[in-house]
Amino acid sequence: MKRAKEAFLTITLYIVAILAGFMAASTVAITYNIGFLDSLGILAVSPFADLFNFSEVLVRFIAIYTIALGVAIALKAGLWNIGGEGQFLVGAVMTLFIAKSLSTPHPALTMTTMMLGAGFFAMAWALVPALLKARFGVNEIVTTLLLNIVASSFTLYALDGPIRGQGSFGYLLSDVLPSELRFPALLKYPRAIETSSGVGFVWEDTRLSYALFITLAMAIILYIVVERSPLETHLGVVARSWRLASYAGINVFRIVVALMLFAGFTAGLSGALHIMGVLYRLDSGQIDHGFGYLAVLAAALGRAKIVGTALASIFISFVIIGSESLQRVSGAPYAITWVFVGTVMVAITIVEYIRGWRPSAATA
Amino acid sequence: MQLPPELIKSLELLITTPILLISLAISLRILPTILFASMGELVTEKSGVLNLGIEGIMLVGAFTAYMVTVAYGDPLAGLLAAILSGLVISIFFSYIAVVLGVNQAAAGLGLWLFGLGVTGALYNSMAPVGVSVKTLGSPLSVSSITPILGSREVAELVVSLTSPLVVVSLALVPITYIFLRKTLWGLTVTSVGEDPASADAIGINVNRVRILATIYGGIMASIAGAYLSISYLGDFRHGMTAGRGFMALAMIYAGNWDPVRTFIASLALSYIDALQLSIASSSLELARRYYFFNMIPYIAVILIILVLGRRAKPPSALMKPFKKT
Repeated sequence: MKRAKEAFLTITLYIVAILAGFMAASTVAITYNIGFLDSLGILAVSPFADLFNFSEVLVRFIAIYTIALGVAIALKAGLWNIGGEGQFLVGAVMTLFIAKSLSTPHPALTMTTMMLGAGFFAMAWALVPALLKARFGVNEIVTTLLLNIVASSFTLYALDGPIRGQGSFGYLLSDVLPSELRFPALLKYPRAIETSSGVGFVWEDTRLSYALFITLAMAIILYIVVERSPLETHLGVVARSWRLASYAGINVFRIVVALMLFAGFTAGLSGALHIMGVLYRLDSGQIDHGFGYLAVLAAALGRAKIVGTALASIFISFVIIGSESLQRVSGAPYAITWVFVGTVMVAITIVEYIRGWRPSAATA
Repeated sequence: MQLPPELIKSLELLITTPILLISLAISLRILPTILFASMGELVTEKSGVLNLGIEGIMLVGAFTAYMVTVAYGDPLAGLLAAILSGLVISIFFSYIAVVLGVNQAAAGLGLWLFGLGVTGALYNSMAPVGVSVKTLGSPLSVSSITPILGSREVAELVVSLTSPLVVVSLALVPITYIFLRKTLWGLTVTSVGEDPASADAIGINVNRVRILATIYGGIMASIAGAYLSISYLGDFRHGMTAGRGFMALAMIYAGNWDPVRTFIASLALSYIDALQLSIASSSLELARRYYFFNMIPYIAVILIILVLGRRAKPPSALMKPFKKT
């Protein structure tokens, strides 16, 4: 009975935190001549408007949750990987680079290389912040964030050089991925067309692909390996105090580096999945995709748990689709999403305070 | 292994033109943003609070300063409004970070994203398109003093050095040094950040000191933002701080929480930034590849930490909220 009451209180507080985010975003939306309740309505309803919108929610979910898995595991030890934003991009670049330069006997082999290559390249991207944190205690938030800016410039550089498309005509975009290197679509939706005998439907592919199963499989493996093993406790000790952890016989250096690298890997993989399942090409418009920061919110909202983060990721994906509809209706820029994300981030720190949870941030 | 053509062209420019000297003047104009932010945040961190949200406060400061300057035509009014915005946000942040003792990393991140979103969205809906404002600049102008000084490069340098906010930001370095090292207040701030329990035992109100230090840092961050919009550029752009707030945080690491060393690190960074800017703008061909040069200052930050900040030791109680027992 007491536990149920506690859980109820926790859920209520989280709902209040999320409402605070909606309120802040809708208040800013007023400057776009759209009523407060109207914008709340659009945010809530539009993701369910049709099958296509719903599939787009899952498209966002794959991108966000794949990054968030790495962020969440690192967050268990109090490490904040804000670098997912840039690691996603360099992963996407590597995916296209491998697709362009490697030919193997079988497409499945190439696709596997693309995913692993993207993951490992993003891991290399995370190496310097990982070592600086583990060795000198340099705040990983600052270093990973600055590398995000490097990553967006690097992506533009790559789009103008190594992965530049054949027919890009001076625009910064890559070639389209050949169809055998794409993930097949998982879902089709009926699109209305005009025919000679009135209105008909054709079934078209949504952008939701089989990449979903890779993400879910990874989540299940992580759940078993991390949350159903002593590792969970070890990470919790590291989050509390590095000194305490080393007294307990934990190799803090190794665990910190491993977690930061793993977070880089999942973010790079997410970039690969997004190219191979959704976009098929990269252009300069993608450099501020925002999935990396949304993943941080998802992991924080999900209390760094695999299941909690999944729920948070799907919820955030709904909000993103809602806010994209809001942007179309009102002409408000994407920035309005950050008002929501920022407010919820601050609000959940207050929720954690009310619930008496210890702040998780690793200090040397 | 072939060097990128941009790099070879840059080396040529370094040898054949006075670009090293020209960049010095530019670097002095870039420096105040990082200096205001880092000198303010240094005091905040010395007291044991990490405000990761200074980037957000800078953006709000830059936006407020710009909007008020557009409305009233006076950059001083803009500066005051920016200070007010920094005051309001940092009072809120110090309340949740110090009094409640929430997770400072998460709250700071939230503050940054909030600032990024609010300024971006409101700029689109409220700001006039393409209006440059009167800037808070030097009373001298390059063209009028060039004949007196003889060289254009020296004249640029003098003009940069006489811009009021540049002077104030440079003055902050000795002021912060003397404050932290030679005054009782500074020692109080340091003691609160190193050993809050002992500070409390001798009768210091730990949380009051931390709140004041956080508010001071927030105000400095908002001035850093205002400098960008109403002194350096005379304009506002979405996300215009471009990570300068996070660079300032990194410079504090590199300077090992010492004002003078933080200043040296910031100066080195600004100089590298200025150098890449002047090289990138030296020819159309290079300007088209701005994204190559744009990476340089951010990579420089990491290198500066590696060179200068290896033995850095943060204040012992950084990010540890204090609860009186």
